[in-house]
Amino acid sequence: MEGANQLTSILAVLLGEGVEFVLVGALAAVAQGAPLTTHDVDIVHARTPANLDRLMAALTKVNARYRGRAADSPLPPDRAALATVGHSPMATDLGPLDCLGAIEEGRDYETLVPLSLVVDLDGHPLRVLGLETIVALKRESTSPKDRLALPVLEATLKRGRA
Amino acid sequence: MNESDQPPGDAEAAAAVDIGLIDEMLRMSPSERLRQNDRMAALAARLREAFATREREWKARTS
Repeated sequence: MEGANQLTSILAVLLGEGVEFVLVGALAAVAQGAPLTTHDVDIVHARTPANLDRLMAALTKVNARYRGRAADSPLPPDRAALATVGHSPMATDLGPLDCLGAIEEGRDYETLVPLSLVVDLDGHPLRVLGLETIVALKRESTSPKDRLALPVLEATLKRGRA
Repeated sequence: MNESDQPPGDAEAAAAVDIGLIDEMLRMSPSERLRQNDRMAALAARLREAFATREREWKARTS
């Protein structure tokens, strides 16, 4: 079920395992009211040994494996890779999940926490990157996809403040 | 950024933003917004599959 999209359930599994992370990217903007549709979860996780243990447990629960591999030779999550600032793009049984050690200009979990806010996901605290920061990052981006989303994000930010 | 600083393409895109849709999303709770995304993503996936099937059938008929 590699194409499944139950992104909310992926978040629930991560929260259930007590993984410390900041939700970033389009889904973080959606959580704050942006009318976008996205097909994956992007998180920046804390890279402490204890949190990597929790993340590995959550990834096992959703049958995570690296994307882009042949179905008959799946590559399971690599704890050492997750401990770096690199990106680990995963397929899971619930949809795609990108585990990012850091985003633009080395912004890691500790850097992003002060720029984030906590929203409620079915009674669990979900930390999401603030819309203002998401907009600032998209403005710096040269990706056509980001440029297309920018007017929607800016309008959402403006309406949310009104 | 001021609106006047935006290149014309961005200004056109900004004008096309559906404010009503944003207001509707802002009325929802974060959980509801995330579930709405799941529903829309599933719908988009079904549409993509339907188009791909149609294209495969069309190619099979015309080849």
